[in-house]
Amino acid sequence: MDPQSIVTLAIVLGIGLAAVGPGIGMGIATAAAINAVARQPEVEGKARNLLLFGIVFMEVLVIYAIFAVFLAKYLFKLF
Amino acid sequence: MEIKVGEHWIVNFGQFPVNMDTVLTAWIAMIAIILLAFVVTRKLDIFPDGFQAVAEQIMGFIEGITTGEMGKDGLKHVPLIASLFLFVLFANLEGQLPWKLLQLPGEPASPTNDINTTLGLALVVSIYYIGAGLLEKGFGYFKHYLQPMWFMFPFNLLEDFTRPLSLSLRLFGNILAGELIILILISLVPVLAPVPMMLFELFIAFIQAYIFAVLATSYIAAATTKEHH
Repeated sequence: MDPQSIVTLAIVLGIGLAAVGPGIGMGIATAAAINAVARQPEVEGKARNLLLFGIVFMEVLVIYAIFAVFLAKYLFKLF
Repeated sequence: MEIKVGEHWIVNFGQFPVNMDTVLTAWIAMIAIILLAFVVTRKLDIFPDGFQAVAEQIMGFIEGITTGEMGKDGLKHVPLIASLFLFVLFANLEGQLPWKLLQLPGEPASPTNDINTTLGLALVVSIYYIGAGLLEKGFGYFKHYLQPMWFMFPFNLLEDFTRPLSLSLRLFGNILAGELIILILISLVPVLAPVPMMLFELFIAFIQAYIFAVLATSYIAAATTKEHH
C-alpha cells in the first residue's frame, strides 16, 4: 500500500469509527427522552431542551474527528 | 469534479491575507439584519401589525432563552445574545443561496464555514462572560477557579480554553460538513437529489444558531450567578 491510500483509508475509517460512540450515546439519550415524555407528557418542552443540550455535546465529538482528519490531511500534504 | 476543503479566495491587503469570500458574505448577512431591523421598526405601534409582530415574536423567543437561564437579570444580556443568534442564523441560511451564479474568483458560501468567523464569535462570547463575571462579582470572580477544592484550579482554567474551542468547532464543523455533503451529492446527481439535504441544512441552521445562543447564555449565567453556600 502506498502512503496516499493509507491516508485515504485513515480518513474514511477515522470519521466512521468516531461516529460509532456518539451514535450509541445519542440513541440512549433519545430513548430516555422518549421514555420521559411517554410517562409525563407535560414535560415535553423541558425534555426537548435537555435532549438538545445533551446531543450537542455528543455531536461535537464527531466534529472533532472531522477536524482532526482534515488537519491530518493538510499536515501530511499527501492528498 | 474536484472537491476542495478550507480553500478561500484570498486577497492580500499589505501584509494581511484576507478571506474575501467570508468577508463578503458576512457583510451581506449584516446588511440583511440591518435592513430587517430598519423595516420592522418603521411605524411602531402598540397594536403590532405584520412585520412588527414577527420581530416581537423573535425577540420574545430570545428573551425567553436568557430569562429561562438567569431570571430577570438575563434581560441586560439580550443585546449580545440576540446579535449572535441573528448573525449566526443569517450566516448559516446564506449557505443555501445559489452563489455559483456569481462569477467570482472564489465561490462564496456561509461565512460560518470559515474557522476564523466562528472562532471570532466564540472569543467574543468568552471575553464577554469573563467581563460580565468581573463586573458582577469584582475580584471575587476568580474564587470560582478554586471551587470545589484548590487542586481543581488547572481543570477550571482549562475550561476557559475548551469553551471557545468547542463553541467554534461545533458551528464550523456542522456547517462545513453540511456543505461538503451537498457538494458530494451535487457531484453525484446534480438534479433534485441534493434538495432534501438542503432542506435539512435549513433546519440545521436554526438548530445551530439556537445552540450557539443557549450555550453563550449558559456560560454567562455560570459566570454571573451568585453561588449559595
